[in-house]
Amino acid sequence: MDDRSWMYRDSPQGLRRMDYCNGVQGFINFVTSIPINFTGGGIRCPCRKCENKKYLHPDVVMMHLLHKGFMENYQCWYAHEEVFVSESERRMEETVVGSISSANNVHEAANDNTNPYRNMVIDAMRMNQGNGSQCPIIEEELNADAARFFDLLKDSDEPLWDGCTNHSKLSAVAQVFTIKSDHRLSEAGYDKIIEWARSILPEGNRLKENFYAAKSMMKPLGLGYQKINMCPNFCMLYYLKNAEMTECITCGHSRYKPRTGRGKNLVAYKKLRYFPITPRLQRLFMSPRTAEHMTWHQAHHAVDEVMVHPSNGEAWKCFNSVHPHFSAESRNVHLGLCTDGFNPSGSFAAPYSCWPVILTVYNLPPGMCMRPEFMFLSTVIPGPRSPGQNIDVCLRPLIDELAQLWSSGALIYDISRKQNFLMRAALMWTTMIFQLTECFLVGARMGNSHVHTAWKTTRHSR
Amino acid sequence: MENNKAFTLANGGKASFFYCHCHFLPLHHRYRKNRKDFFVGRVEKDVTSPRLSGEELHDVVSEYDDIVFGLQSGKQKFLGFGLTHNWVKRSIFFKLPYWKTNLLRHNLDVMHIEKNMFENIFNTVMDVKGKAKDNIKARLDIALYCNRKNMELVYDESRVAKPRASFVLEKNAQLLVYKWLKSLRFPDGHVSNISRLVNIEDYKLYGMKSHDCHVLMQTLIPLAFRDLLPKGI
Repeated sequence: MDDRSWMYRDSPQGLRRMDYCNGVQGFINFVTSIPINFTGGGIRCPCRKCENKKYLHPDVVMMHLLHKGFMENYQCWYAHEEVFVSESERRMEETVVGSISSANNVHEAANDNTNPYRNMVIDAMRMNQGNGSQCPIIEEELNADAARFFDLLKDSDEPLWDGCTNHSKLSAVAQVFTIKSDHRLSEAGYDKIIEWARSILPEGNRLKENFYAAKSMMKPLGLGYQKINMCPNFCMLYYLKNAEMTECITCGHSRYKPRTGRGKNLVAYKKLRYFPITPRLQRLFMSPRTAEHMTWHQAHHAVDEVMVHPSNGEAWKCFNSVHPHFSAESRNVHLGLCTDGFNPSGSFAAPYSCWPVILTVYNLPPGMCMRPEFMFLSTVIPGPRSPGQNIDVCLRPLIDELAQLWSSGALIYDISRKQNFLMRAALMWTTMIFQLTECFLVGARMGNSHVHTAWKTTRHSR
Repeated sequence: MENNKAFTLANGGKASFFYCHCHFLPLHHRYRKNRKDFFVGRVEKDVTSPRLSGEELHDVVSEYDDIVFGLQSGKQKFLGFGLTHNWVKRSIFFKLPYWKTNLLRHNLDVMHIEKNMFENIFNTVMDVKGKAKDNIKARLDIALYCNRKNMELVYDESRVAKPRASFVLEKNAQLLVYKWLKSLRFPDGHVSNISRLVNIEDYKLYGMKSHDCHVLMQTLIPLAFRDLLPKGI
């Protein structure tokens, strides 16, 4: 890679230098020379504001760059099909790809470096590799995982129909999924569109026939969730040692609905959805674009008396001084929790209160840590009544995992430093509306002085 | 809690912290001895109760650990509930080994509170029917606890009249405010188009988001009310 120092250098008066203008011209020439950059209808704009998220005409991109400058840390133009330059990075890519190919003889396909959906699969694979290299005990599991994974990889490289060059089985499904979620398409709508698409595609195409089949195909990528049955009166979860029970200990309410007709499956009255947090945190360290930001909270230069991030606050500093073991590793994750009830079918519909519990990663810089993509949904507590002070029951899986992440941690591969490390996580605080804080989480009723101390200290955390 | 002076309003029926914050004042502050303007005849001598550290709090709360969750959880009362303490459970967060060392365990949603405050203030000043806090019950409570003769209800043979409070705008002044809001224009992305939220016929604002409330509260309300309301307010 040639010298890229011009990208972030301005003249002393804050004006653009000549070499910057030439560099931008060079960048545009480089990008337009690669046809795959035009897949989105234009080229990705790497300016400070668009951050590679928008596809624009090259002339507009040039104007943006001259006007606003490049986004941070974009010396390597990875989003514009420039190959990674770091040596160790390349070596790792090769070993990963190599191991896959030797196992499954998909060598030729795997060498094709241009398919973004294959990179997505490799990202997911790295996670397993990172764990496997240091944990020989779970090797058995890993093999089963790997087998499924290889299936997925094979899928990703199989063309949509014989002779199709620009779409593989996986890339097609992934793109339709994006459309589905962007435009809030219903499942039935998805199936209808796929039915229509299959009818216009050539005979013998490999497009998955419906949403269910497509979802099963994507599942090995990871980031799933657990369904935990619970008592409809919020008495208990059918979880861990109670997992096999069929009646609630406290109120004796049956776990399953009575069977009607010939149905074979037992249907539970109420199901809690729990999204394990560890794999999601792992993903943050897997992607080179986020991994480097995970140490931002310690690396940034704080200006005295200016609060730009919770890490400038008193509570954060106090926590670090009380737990020096935790703060010594800057990659350890600081989390925040928030929750509120809402009615998924609108405020005028039948009363139903659903409680999502959301975790925020406070390691990230302020511009990132409040973005929806870095807020992890961890639990969905179903209605129709709100859990009230029984919320403790529903939070148990989360608290168990957090306690485990604090005491023993999780082995995680950090791509920015190319090493495995033991990541620990701590919950710093919760955030929610006034009434909830007192009766649900603090555990006291109206008139508790600790609530009011929380009120006073709030300002420096926000 | 032990030192709590919060009480339930006799007519409003809500928990009230009226005048409770006076114990945060310095010992010789004149408001502490003011028997006329706040609570009639009350002199505040107490000082703030000490703030419990996380460890102390943990010790206190650990007593309230054996709670059975479910339908009955609201009905279980620990000994002394409502008299010496208000605890109903030990929060599950204390199962995290480091939770008691955290300086700041719970935060409040400031935007949400600001929205509530804005709605209360705006609706009271603009005298929105059904939303204003300056209602009959409040007037009855004022008569009970305070010495504010001009705010009390006037009983006139068979009728009861509610004298207009000084902080409520008159109808033509309200119209002025709404017309002004209707004509406002803002820079792009600063706030939603407020003129669309104003309904002059109903004398109401509709569909305010919490950020709109924030902008109105911070920049517009002071401008609007400074000239229209009397100086003391």
